[in-house]
Amino acid sequence: MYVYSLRRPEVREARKETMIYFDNAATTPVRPEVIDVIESCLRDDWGNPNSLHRKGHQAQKRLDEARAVVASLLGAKPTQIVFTSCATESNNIAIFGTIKPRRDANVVTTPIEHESVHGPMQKMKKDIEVRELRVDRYGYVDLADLERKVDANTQLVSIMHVNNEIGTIQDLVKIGKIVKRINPRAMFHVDGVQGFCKVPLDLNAEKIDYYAMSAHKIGGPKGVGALYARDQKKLEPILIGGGQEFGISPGTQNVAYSCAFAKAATLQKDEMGRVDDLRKALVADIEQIDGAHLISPEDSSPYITSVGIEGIKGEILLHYMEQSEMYLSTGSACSGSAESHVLKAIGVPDSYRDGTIRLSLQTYNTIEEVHAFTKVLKENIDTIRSIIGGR
Amino acid sequence: MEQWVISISFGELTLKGNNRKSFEDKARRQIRKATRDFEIDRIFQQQGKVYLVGNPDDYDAIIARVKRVFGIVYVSKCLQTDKDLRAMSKAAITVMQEKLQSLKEAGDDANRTFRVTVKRTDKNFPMTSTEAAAEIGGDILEAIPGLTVDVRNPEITIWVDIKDHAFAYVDRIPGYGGLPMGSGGRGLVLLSGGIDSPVAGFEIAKRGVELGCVHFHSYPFTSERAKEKAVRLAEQMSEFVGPMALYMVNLLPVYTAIRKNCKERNTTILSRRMMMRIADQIADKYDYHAMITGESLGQVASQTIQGIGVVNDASKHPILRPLIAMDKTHIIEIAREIETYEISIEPFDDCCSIFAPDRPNTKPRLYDMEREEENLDIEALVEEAMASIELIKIN
Repeated sequence: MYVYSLRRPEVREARKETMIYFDNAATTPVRPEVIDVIESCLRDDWGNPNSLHRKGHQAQKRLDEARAVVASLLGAKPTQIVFTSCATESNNIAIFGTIKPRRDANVVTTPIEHESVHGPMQKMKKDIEVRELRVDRYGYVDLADLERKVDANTQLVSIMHVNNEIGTIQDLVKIGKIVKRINPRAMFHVDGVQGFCKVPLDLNAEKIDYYAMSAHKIGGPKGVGALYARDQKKLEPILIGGGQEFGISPGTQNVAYSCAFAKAATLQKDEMGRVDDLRKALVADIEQIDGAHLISPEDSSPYITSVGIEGIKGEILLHYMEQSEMYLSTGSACSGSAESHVLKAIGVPDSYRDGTIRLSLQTYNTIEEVHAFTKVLKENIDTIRSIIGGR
Repeated sequence: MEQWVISISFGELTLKGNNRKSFEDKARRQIRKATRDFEIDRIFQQQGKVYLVGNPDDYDAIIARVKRVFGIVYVSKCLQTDKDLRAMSKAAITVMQEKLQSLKEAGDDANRTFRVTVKRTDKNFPMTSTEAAAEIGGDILEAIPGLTVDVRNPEITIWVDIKDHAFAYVDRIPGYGGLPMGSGGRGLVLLSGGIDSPVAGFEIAKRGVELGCVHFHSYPFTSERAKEKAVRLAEQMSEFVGPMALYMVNLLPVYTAIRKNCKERNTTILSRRMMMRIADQIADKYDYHAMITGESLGQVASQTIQGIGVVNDASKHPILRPLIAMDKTHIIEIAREIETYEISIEPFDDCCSIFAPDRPNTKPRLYDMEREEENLDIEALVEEAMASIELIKIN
């Protein structure tokens, strides 16, 4: 017997070397290059970018640079980029800042949105009609249904770029065209958290008005996000303050984290295709496991792979894997063990819905990690099945 | 000479004949412990009450800690003075003024009725209690306008105790009563992570029993967060019941064996019997004299009379069930009082919920359970569980 302590950071630290982390859709480790940027900002350019003196001006220059970098990554103008505190804020601004309650008006969305879109929509329900689009078994929006549900009274269409649980990439070009053809005044908002710098994007071809982004899914820190706004004057602010960030996300700007966001995005975009081979290897390995079903479509984001496994519970598998310092997620991390609304919407069969896991990659992962991970995964699945199976 | 002191009154422990001295010593030790974060200049005793002298600015905080010591019936902030009628009146007036001031600050400055109650332990004092009370009451009426005397149903009672010194006070802040910690042996709480077991531990600790806890988990079928929840519950309990040892036992091998070899509907009863056997061993090894559970009749399937009987049979030690006839609402009230409730309702699965059968056996018979257990290597399972123990010292 030994005296046990739950707080032993030194042990956790030492284990890092051998860790395999496949939960990058929940969050990514902050890249060393990004940490350097944060450090230099905090040390040297800590001024208030709104101050009139030189110290303030220095900080403002760094903020402007960061804004320009993000804009160029998106093919946008710097005045179209608003830094926020997180993607939840970005989504909330786009939704609450656009919708003007009217009984005969409507908004159109999908049943597989992240909570930060789904929640605001639920809240607006009493003021405006919220129309949900049909999705198929892979989560793709039914375009015929979109044609039917968008009309002259549609104020906003909000559809995510890449689904956070199953990785499905929506055909934004087709969607954008349909929306604007039926109603050019309808705003098209896209939650781009899992897509930004990970899959191709063309804001103009896709006719996107608002695009929400987050730093911590691409090697940046938690606590900073951004919103692309084609015309930010159309947005009604939801916070009122000192007018920073075009008055849309007021409050003294987080210069260090905005610079971190820009750095992380630059690196991520450079390495965008790096996980393609890992994904192929991952899918091939998983196909070797008895009773394992790929829930993600074949051509989903290579960063996110959802798998349903018969005869187990996802959370138990997760705890078995963590014993080997291997990390994965069930459904999405934000909702914990509660039933996933995404899996419900796409109709995952009962036989493996409870056994759904999400493996999400990042550019630093390796092919060796994939094979090592799936080997232990298979062993643990067998162990759990032998316990749960009973006699 | 006047000074502010805190008085502490004991209830039943003053009645316990020869044991009184040892009980009082234990209680005083606990009081010292409870007040160790504060500067206490002096602790003294006068005719059955214990008095603390410290910095009056700390008194509210000290009282909040002291009233948690088991065995205490009530605590008061008093003004100590000389045993002289004028001095006592002066002290009583000060106490009354303070009380009126605090009522006023709470937005309540209506005129008040009051009475004075004198308790004369020193029978050599030249006046009777009633005479002294009348005199002091008269002085208060003269000194403070707007008051009226109401002996039968007063809003404010000013107490004056005449002992070696005189003590005037107004509020009696109730404690938990019971007996001082360590006067009643050692008990082992089966701490599940739910609402009931911390309350059960608290209730038994109130009777002077020193506690330890055992928590059964089934990692990795349950999460590390669930284990940590048990630790936080024990930490919160220890605020009231003092330091404890927490034994963490992995029950997964037991569940696995039961699942493989026994009927699903008996899982709950059989695993509870195993928990009792393991707790028995812990009790023997670490010197506990009884088990304490949060069982309450009829609350869940295993807590039927039949279920309890069959589980009882597996333990050599007595099993104390202080909540057995308590309503859930009352249990929750106590859980809120000891601040374990908010921790208990956090939604991590404990081991019961994952292995819980859909249709549990609510009327198990001992004979059938023993038949089922023939398929289990009980000794080996208990041994394996004992080898998995992690000990966490709380406080």
